[in-house]
Amino acid sequence: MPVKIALAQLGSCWGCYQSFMDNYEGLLDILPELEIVFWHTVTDFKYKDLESYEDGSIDIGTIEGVCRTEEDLHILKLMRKKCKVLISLGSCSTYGGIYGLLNLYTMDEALKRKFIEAESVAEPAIPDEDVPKMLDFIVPNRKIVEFDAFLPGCPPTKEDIANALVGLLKGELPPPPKRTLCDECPREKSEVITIRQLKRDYEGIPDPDKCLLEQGYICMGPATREGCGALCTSAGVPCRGCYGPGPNVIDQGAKMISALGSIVDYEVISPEELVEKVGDAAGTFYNFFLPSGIISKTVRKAK
Amino acid sequence: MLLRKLIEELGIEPERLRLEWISASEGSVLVEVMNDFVEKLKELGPSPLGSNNE
Repeated sequence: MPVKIALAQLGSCWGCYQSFMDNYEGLLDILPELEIVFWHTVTDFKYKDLESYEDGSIDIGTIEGVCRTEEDLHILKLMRKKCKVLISLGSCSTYGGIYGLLNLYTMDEALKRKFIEAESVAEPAIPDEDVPKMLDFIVPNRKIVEFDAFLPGCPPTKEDIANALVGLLKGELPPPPKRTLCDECPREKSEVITIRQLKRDYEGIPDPDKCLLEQGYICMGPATREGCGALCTSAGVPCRGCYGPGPNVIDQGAKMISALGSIVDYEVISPEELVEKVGDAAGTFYNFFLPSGIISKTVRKAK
Repeated sequence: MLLRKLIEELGIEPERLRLEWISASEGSVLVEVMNDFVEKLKELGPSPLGSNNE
């Protein structure tokens, strides 16, 4: 009997499902085992179809994206009710993702920037018809409903998603990470890593074999979990931390700041220079993690 | 320094974070620094984290 699966999308870019689709012929091994009962971005199911299923009648559910509107919140809670096993797909759903950086601003500021001030806007107007109510801040989905497993990544690799589904068909949940990205990164690292110069990622061309941190690029590897196969660092691009914090790390950004603090050679680089070179601290260290951080949004003094 | 910059971006006054090295034999320095820091915190008032942490 095919396994019933529902694939829901909340506020997101569809990249995680695109990554799933990127399995191409690999899908042939998985899809015949599945009966898709809801995937509103691909198949013609409506919310009322999902609402009409019996509670707990769907075997596997996946959630992509964050709760940005009341509609997203409704779908997330509905999915939890209808699905036996609920998987968080991607870093948005797992940590809050890039959308989480909007927690640095109020919703009024964000709407104004997007619909009024943006350089490409021709007729400035904030839409108010037939749109669900926006939520003030992004809260990680796992603080709203309980999940059975998490597959972070922006997006999770196609192998990650395929392996997780194959495992789930056998009744196994994806294993938790054991190492950091540095452990799976093929670049050569010195016994003691020291940073003697700092570069933004557009400056110069990195040596193809040496550790990016040692070359002065801020690479989130030490604070990030394994899983992606060091895709970016293998291609010469510093890690931005999309897979989220490494094992036993509570706050990815704080961990990275702490790591940098102990490997920068302050006789060559002054603390002031470090701050100046980093520029956007929240964007650099919390690119995908801000809503899950210890301080999850910009705090404002009570008026 | 980096952490100060970060908490500033997150809306917390960077003066609320202070790191000093004081040896066990420098009792008077500890008193001085603590009094100074308490004074500063009183000046700043309650942390925005406490009043806006829902």
